[in-house]
Amino acid sequence: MRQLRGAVAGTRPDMPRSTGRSRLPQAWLTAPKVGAGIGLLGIFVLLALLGPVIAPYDPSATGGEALAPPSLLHLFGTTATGEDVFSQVLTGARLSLEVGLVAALFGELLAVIVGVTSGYLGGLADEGLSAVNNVFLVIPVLPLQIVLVEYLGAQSWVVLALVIAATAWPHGARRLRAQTLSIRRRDYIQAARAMGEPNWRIIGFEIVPNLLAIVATGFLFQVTFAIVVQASLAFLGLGDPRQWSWGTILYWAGNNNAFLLGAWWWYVPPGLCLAFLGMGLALVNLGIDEVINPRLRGAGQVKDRLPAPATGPSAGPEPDKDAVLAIRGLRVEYATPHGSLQAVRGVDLTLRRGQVLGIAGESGSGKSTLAYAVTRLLKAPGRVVEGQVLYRPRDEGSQWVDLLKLPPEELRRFRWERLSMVFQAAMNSLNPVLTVSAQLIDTLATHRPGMTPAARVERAGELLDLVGIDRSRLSAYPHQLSGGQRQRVMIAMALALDPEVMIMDEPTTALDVVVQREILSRLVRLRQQLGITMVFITHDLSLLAEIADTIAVMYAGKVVEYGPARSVTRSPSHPYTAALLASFPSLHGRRRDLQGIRGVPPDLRALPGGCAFHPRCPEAVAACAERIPLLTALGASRQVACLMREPSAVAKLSSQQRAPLHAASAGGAEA
Amino acid sequence: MAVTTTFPEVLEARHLTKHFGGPSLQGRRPLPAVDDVSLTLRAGYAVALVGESGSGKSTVARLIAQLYPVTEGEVRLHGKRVGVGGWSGRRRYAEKVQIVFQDPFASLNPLHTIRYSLTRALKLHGGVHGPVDAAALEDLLARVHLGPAEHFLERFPHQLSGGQLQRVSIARALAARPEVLIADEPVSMLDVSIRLGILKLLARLKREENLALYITHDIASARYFADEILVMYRGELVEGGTAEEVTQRPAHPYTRLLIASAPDLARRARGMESLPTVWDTGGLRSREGCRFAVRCPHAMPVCTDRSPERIELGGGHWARCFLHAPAPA
Repeated sequence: MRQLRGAVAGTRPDMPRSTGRSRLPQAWLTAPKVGAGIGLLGIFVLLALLGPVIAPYDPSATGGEALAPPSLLHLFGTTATGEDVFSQVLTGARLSLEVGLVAALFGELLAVIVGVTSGYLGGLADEGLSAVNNVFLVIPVLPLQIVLVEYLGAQSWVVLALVIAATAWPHGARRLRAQTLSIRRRDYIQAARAMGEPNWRIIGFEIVPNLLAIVATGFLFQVTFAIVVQASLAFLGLGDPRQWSWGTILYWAGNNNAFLLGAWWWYVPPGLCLAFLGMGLALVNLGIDEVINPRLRGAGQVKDRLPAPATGPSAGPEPDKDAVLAIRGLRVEYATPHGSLQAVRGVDLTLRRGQVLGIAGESGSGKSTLAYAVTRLLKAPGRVVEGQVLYRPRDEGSQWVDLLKLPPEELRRFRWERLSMVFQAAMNSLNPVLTVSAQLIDTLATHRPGMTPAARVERAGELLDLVGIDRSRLSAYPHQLSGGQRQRVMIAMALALDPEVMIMDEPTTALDVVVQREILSRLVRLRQQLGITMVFITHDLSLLAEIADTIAVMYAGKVVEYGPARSVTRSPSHPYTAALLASFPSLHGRRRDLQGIRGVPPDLRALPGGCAFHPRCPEAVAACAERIPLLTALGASRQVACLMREPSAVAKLSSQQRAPLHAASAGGAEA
Repeated sequence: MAVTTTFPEVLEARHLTKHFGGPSLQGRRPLPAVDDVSLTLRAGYAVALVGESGSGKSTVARLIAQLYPVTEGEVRLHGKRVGVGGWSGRRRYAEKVQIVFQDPFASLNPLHTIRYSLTRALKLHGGVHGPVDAAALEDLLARVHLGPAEHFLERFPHQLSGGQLQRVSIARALAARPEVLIADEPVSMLDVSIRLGILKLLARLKREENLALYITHDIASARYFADEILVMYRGELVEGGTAEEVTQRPAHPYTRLLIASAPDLARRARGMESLPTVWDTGGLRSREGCRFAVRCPHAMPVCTDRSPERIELGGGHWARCFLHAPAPA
């Protein structure tokens, strides 16, 4: 569960986080819908303020021509007693909005108090308040309002607003309670409690600000609700029919059979006003979350949106004979509000048949992006800018195909049948309402329509055998399995169609070491049994030392070291690989001094010039900040991208360029 | 023992037991998440609790921090039983005992700047009323090696990296000048290359500020950064001793399994040995006797009959396992 939370939190390590604070009003106005909503609301607020002043006639003045259709004299026509409908609509706006705002203010306040207190305190207080809340939820609102208004006598619109508030809060309170329950469990609330913050401060300064979006949404909803209720009550004749509101107009229109008389101008304008006001409120609602949450500010607006797969140079020599997959010059970008961000910056890798290729890297290394790009699961705003992913099926005489150019139908068949994937949180993507066998059989039925049902069941059993789960678990539901078993079911699913290549992105990261060990030994056995080719992506280099044949170490979107697993982990060449290996505490042998790496993983938005690792590198010299090192052969089977490992290049450096960048003593990782 | 004299005792947890939820309809109480856990924290001394997720080690951390009420048992600070009734009690306790959580991205309120979070901590515990001095904030950040301060103070949590956020969380905890610092898996969500930095920081704080450190961990890091290791399995402590003793001469079969399972750069040379265990039992566990018995390759009839007692193995090393019971006379 531990690493998983990070994944769920939506911060895929390679994904850019938004920077900077955009200014609030800009965020509001840039979204066209929100702008339209605010425009509509602005018009109505103006009406409410100025309506009674600019109304051409006294709204209650009778004696004009009765039931006159709209004309220049009477824009919205007249009523049965000759009153000017236009003036009534203008005058009525104020009362409708006043009732709406005041009712929503009190209603939402009540909702916040009840919902948050009940959610935060829990226990008896919660049960009591929830009970009251639920009772209010099931009482039919309109009769209650009628009774209350009759009883209190709605002399003033304020009373009416309070009655509406008293009946409108329960929905909001329930929603706020649920949200509070979830926020209360978050670490920052626990941290505030551990800090000794008093409850009222935790509620007021830690919880409620996080609820603002919901409170604001609820408020706008209640405004709409209150205006409509006021209109309905007025329509029913409750309240003072001499006080003009849109509801009062409808009341008189209804009483005078305007509908039967065909006097549409009498009831359509107030009706449309209600509808447009509601629409304005709804549109503003859409943008609220973005404005309040600093993390979402600026999201949704992406600069330089570019069309999907553009692939670069398609020429190049044929990959090796025993290769099954070859990645050539792959570059992947994410479009962000602040320009494009390069997550994979020119990667060449060859996967040999039957081999386990381990890709190691930390956050920002581009390793997951690479996996998504190769399987073409990359989602916008990510985009392959350049490169090829060549694949050749194992059948005799088959040709190389560029996966990045496959049409969708072929791609769908290719995935799972030829190449399958297991991702970190895969175990949570099992369908909770279907049994394990149903899900395995479903995969088989989709891709192997020719198989008999009995054969499918048999194959499902075989697959469970492969991953070491007892066949009796076929009838189990996902929640009856442990996390490790669920992850093994996902591996079984990935094996279902006998793929040639299996790409696994942190398949064991969310699991405990003992479970991880079991899955690893399963994978090693599977590979021996089935000769399957694997790409194993992980942040844990020590794990690759055990299971991979070849290791590629990635840093800031590039492969910085490549070679046989044993030799890379025993005698790392790149300073990053060496430092990373020295960061793993070992349980065996003497306690050695652990060095670690200074600084922080690279920020893809602002990569340093030259070698991306130079600010953290203990060996860096002045030239490292300027020159971008290329992946160069080191002996027969290894490659490394480091200026300091190219003797001929080092020899040509001036003494100035050779000056070390960091004082030797500053090697500690603590700073 | 030498430990007692060199490192004065600060906090003692006695027989902590925690049940979540009440008895079920059948009247059977669920097995406790934490069962009879006792441990002592000392100034300048680090105790690491290791075990799989769900073993209850984080629950123990929260029980010690008094974020959950205990079902049974007690926490004693300097020999005095603590109860956090009311806000002033909680605040007094918070001055002595602070906690850092696992997920740095969730530990700070996303809507507040770093300045706000640290200022609150200083105001609550630093005796500061009115505006907090910029120097105090700078000093706090400097203690966790974050600088320059103006680079961080006005930022929101989502603008910092995981390692930086965890340092801010530690700084916030330090603002109270606590005697006990509890760190619940403080590095498990961080990149490998920055884990050591955080662990070294905690080790230095322990030394220089004489903190009693309680930390939950993977066993390999525990070997390097803890003085004492306690191994937890399904709510119970099964083994304990000095870090080197427990990792180099593990006595309980579960500890051995844990050590054999940890990925290790040295392993490849030795080949992938098959591990002596019944693997994943999918949540299965025995209600009577030793909780590890269903998975234990050495299980004997007695193991499922009754719970093993704590058996001293010498030098402060102990285990709860019948394998080490003296032969009946």
